[in-house]
Amino acid sequence: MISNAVKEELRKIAGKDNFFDEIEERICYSYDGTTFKSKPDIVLKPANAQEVSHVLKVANREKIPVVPRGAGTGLSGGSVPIEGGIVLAMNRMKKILSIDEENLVAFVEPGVINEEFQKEVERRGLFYPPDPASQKMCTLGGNIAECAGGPHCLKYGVTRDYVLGLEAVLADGSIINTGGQVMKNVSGYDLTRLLIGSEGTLGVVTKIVLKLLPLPEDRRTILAAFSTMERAAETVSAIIASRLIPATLEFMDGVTVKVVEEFLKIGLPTTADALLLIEVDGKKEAVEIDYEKIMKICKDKGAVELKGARTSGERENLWKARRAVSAALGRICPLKLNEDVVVPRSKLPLLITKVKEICTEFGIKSANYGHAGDGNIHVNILIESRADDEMKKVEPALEKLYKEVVNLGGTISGEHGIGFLKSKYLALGAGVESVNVMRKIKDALDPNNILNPGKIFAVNPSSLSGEEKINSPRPSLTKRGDNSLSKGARKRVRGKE
Amino acid sequence: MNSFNLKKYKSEISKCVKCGTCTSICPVYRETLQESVSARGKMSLIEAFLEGEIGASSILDKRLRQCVQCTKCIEECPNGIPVDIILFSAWRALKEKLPTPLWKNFAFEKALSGAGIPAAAGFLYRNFGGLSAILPVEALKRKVSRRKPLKFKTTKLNSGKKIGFYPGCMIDSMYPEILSYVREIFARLGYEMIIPSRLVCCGLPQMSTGNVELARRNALVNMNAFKDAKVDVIITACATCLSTVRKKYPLLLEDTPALKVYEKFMDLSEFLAGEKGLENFPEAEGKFTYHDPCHLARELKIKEEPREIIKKISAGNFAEADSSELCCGFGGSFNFENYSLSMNICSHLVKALKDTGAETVITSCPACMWQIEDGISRSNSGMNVMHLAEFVLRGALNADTDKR
Repeated sequence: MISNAVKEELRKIAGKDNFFDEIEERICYSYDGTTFKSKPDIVLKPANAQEVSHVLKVANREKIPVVPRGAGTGLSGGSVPIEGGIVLAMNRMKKILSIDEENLVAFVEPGVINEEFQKEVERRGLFYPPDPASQKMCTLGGNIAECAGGPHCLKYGVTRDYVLGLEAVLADGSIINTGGQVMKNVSGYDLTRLLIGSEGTLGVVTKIVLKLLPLPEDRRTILAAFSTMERAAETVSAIIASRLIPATLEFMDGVTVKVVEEFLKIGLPTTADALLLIEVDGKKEAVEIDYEKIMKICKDKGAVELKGARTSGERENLWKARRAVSAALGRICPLKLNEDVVVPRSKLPLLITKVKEICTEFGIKSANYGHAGDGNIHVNILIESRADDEMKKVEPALEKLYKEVVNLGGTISGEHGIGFLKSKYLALGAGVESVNVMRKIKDALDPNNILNPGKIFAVNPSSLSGEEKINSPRPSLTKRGDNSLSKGARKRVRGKE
Repeated sequence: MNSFNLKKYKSEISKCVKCGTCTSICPVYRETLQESVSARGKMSLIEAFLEGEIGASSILDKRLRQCVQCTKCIEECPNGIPVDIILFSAWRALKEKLPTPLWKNFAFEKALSGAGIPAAAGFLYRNFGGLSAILPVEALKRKVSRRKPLKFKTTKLNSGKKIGFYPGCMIDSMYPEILSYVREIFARLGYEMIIPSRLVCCGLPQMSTGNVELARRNALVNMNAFKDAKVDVIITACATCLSTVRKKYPLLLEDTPALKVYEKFMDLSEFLAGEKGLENFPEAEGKFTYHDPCHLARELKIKEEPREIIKKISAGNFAEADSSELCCGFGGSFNFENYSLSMNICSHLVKALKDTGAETVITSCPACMWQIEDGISRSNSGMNVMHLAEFVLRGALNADTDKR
């Protein structure tokens, strides 16, 4: 429990209108896009880096967990305060500080919404490509914490590739500036990249310097339907093998197509077993050539339906459908695990087959979609009930999936992060030695383990042997008396009991 | 009333996967950035309330009521959660534990449900506006410009056809002139307007305080009145009344199929868009823009009809505002309880409307009118706000004045 005196101290830092400890408010900062819940003790909404620094000094002194939170849309539980403590809701810091059109660089605060930023730079003929499906609501700070991806990352790279510098507050309250606003920088270790994807475990980002590109002159979007998933996967491989890198190369299976069509009613071919959503962009003439080439490959590979989006409205509808998939799966299933495994792209057809085999073997259902072009597929395990036996089937199936992915040369998370849902498998995805280095970095920067505890690392890896690490139990989510993790989450966290 | 039994919605509430799509469009969330006012926050609170984790606290009550009822979250929710019905049911459940404040009970339940009372109260408010300065409610101190009701020498084109009209409280109390505009439009088109006596408030304000039973009583009174009037079609000029009648009456009156009179309700714009006679109406001068009332555009998908009419009568001098997504922020009692928040929401709309360069904002809802007039007067942007019914007659009125 946090004492009243400490609460008073924190209330003074953020101001009484930005401090909340009522149970009603705490409930609303207990979840993220995974639907797993655990209440914080306090919610604070800081206005600037100084306030964040003051809060962290107090938290470090008192050893109170601090969980930075953007929009709470994450899919690995990264912003769920599983050990209680303070949630730092960063969305009040939402200013686009400046857009430098001479140097194609932007300075922003972490609470800026991804899509609002994209629109603002596009108005100036500029382009910020990372576009996670939650871009309408997720924040750039959250994107950095999880190193978010999105459809456009196939051609343009992920969040990491657009961050030039950061201002961040460390666990002891010190404020550091990493990188800068220049395109090249080898003045020492790359601390910017260390913070990107660190899921709030190393510091709280308070300012971001982003690189921008010129807005592509033209774009065209293709919708191709296939009678089997394998054919769609082969088409993807054929496109990449013919030295074409479209801006996006998205894939949706039959289940997901039916679900979004039920929501949006925009005339998607619901009888198809797989859809590809392909977009090419660039100079007008080049776009025309690539468009024709891709249309031909789709035809040759046996697309049963093939059409281009003619208007920007049609294009917007297709993308709306793609972005709605994850949430709309709630229509057929109350609980799901949205995985983001990634394999070398040529292995995609093999991965699809493996997923099918695993589902059959364990008697579970899955819905699959994602960024086929870069081998990053969202395997969504559909959990039809929160009953024990249903949950028991899921854990070993997931473990098998992760092992297959690693065998194919891939890893367990492409863009959602480890959070706490995958922490048990970190060593599998990153390798034992790497995890040990990660842990040393964490210990050096946050010796009291106050920054987002229980995320990324399940347990202290140095005390266990390699094999045990992979099957180590997850951290208890009921450590602090007041936490109410949902039944399903508790089961999931405890794993095999 | 089974349709508003909160427990019944447990499975609908559990369909919320916390994706956060609602936070991207909720006007109240975007202004406050407070998770507990977003639809997913509200669903979490209701879930905790149903499970007994929290009781009927004043914070719960406040957060659940911070809603402008724009229904955007319902339109955008990938899982189609009926947030509005769930909230009405929650307000109803909370009312059992937390009594409605006296002023609210008097104003939104008792007064509005009595035939003739809103009109009388509105008369006092409009004519003794100075009195509002001493009222404790900030929302009633708004500076709203009053136009004198226009006088018509009603044109004699009456073909004997009768059309029912449902004014609703806002027109009765705040904008009675709209009634005379509608009557004149009908007369020029050859119809007689019938307004049954005994009509009361549509029921939405009562549902919003949680008094679903009283809302049902009002629905029964209104439907019986129109049943006896024997008209083929019933027009309203209030977006909120129409959405209540069309969307909520089927639930309020589910056990009374004899009263399906609500199926005859239409918005004025839906009716006029199909009227050939409209072509004889002289064009209005000036530059116009249109505000989509949430209850019309989002809930009932009536967007094209008003624009068709405006384009016809404004000689194409119509500018689309970059605001089709923006709500005026009124939300009935929300405005009274969260006045400054409500006006902050409105300021984004006023800016978008102003950016069109139009002199006049047309809309189809008297509640939006009241709010936008206030928003405009606060921003000193000098635009007029006009109901579609007045706009339709603008050109005709100028022509009449020229002749005189």
